[in-house]
Amino acid sequence: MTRVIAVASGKGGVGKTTITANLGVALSTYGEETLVLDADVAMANLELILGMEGKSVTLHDVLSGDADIEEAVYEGPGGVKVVPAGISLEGLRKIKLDRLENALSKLVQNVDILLIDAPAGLEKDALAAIAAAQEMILVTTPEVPSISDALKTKIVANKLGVEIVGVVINREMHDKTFLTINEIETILEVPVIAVIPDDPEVSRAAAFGEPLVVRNPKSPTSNAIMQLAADLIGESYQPIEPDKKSVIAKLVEGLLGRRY
Amino acid sequence: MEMPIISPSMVSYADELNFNQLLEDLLRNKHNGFVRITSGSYEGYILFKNGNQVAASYDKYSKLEAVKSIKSVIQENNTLIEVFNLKESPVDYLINVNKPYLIESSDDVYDVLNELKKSDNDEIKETNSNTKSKYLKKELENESKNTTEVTQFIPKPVQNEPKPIKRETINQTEPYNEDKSNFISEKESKIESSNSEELKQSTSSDTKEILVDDTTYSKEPKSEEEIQIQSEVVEDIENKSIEEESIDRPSLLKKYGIKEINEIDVENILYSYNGGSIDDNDIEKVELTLMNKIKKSILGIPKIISAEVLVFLENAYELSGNINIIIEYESKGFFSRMRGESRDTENLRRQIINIAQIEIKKSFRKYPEIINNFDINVEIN
Repeated sequence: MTRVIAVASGKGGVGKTTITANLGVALSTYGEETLVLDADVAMANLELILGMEGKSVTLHDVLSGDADIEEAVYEGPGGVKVVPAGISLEGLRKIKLDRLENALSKLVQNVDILLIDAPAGLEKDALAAIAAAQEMILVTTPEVPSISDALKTKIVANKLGVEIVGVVINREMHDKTFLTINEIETILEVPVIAVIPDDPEVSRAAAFGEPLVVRNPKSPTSNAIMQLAADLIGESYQPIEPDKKSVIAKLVEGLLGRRY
Repeated sequence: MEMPIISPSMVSYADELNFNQLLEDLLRNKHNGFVRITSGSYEGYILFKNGNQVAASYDKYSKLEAVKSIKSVIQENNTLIEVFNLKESPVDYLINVNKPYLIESSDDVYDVLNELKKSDNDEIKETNSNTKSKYLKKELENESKNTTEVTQFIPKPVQNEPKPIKRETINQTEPYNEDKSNFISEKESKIESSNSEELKQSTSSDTKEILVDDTTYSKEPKSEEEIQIQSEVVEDIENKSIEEESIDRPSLLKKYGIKEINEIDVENILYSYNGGSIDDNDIEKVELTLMNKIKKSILGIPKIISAEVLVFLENAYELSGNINIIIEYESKGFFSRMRGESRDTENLRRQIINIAQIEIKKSFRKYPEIINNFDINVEIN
């Protein structure tokens, strides 16, 4: 049976799309037939992270009634299937969110896991994405506003009958200024299933339009996401350690502009 | 831990370096600065002041646990060790900034460091530079001896001891601690560190002095009252630390100013999601209200004899619909018609559409964009 998992946050800018994209690629590498759907029709970014912008048919067209959902499915990095939302704002008014449910019902027939990148907030588009899922991963940073919004999202999701798989704490900095894992678990009443460290490599990978788990699989963030993917499907994962190189070799590589 | 970004004075992989020797050297040189230990994706720090370890962190661990974690990775070949030098005043600042990671002098951390050294069977060199190094040496010597020798080092009765400095050693030697086994928990190190502060106040000499002059305190028998008071203090401190650990959810929400979303708000959010703010049962009422409002406004236009307004609403995910307006307009004379009636009619049509849109907006003040969901048709007779 296909698992439909929404990745939601409440607050925007917590790294939800980055985690969804990389998690999708990670699940694909484990052999799971995975499809990532960007339900953030107003602020679509998933295709930028995966380097798939400029596709002719997108979710915009599907929700506008101008195309069928099968036409909007593309092959992404690592074999993950992707339904981009379409970055253009043209036709945004024509969108009917009730068409999303029909589209998803067609998609689930051919995949093992359907990941939905839900929009931030609790507007209709966000609720439509959450309601369409059976399970939800809550993404938050260890900051108060982010936790506060995540709490609202969690409560609404519970009301919609969506099972919360757990919380992913993104951009963890081991800083006492922010909330601890225990505090976050206590407030949200949901287990923390992954802690993704703050990593400048994420921004670099996004700039290159390449998912981090492909671009730099040895980075702590990649390891954390791969571990999360493994946990979701009950697989085991052995973290990839960075190469052991001499300081001089690293310096030389740095001077030559190579990162790894 | 908060540490400055500076260049390291020494960089080496753990397998290319004797970490215990490094600690010895730092102690001997009265090092001010910190050591960074990086293993895979985890990072740890040990802060040094005058050669003494004053704070430690590793991954999510701090103090004693951090040192234990560091111990577990210093033999790994991918562990990178970097030494950073600082002056004394920045170290004081870092101590102040990193208070949660401070190693109290009464902590068991020294034992762990000794274990690190013991693992390599390194000889302990004589260091008379400060009292702490003396203590370190004594402890090392003691640990290399058997338990009987340890009992000589910490004389009976153990319950007379004023500080819970080394509970593990005491447990090995004295059955008395069985009574207080409930004290010894995972939070032991915290209790000890807190307790040491209180005990510092109650004793004239500081902890360091007590550590060095072990015979002084161990040989002084104390009354049962004192022991009881002391145990009560320990219990209080333990209770306090447990309370701090098990902070409840309402307190956390209050602490961070997070408001729990109430049931009504959730219902409102979901209600709006389930098909607009208008219930299906009320749709006819809304249609009627809109009809009357638009009609009333249109009839205010001069020379309009009659007006019929028909509103058809569709209550899907967003409220939308059609509004058909049929008006009867007072006919003009022949010459007026010749002058351009068609332009007047077009202006009238626009005016009526504007009136209808204004009425819709007034009816849905919170959702002015709803106007885009309506098709307005005007027929003029």
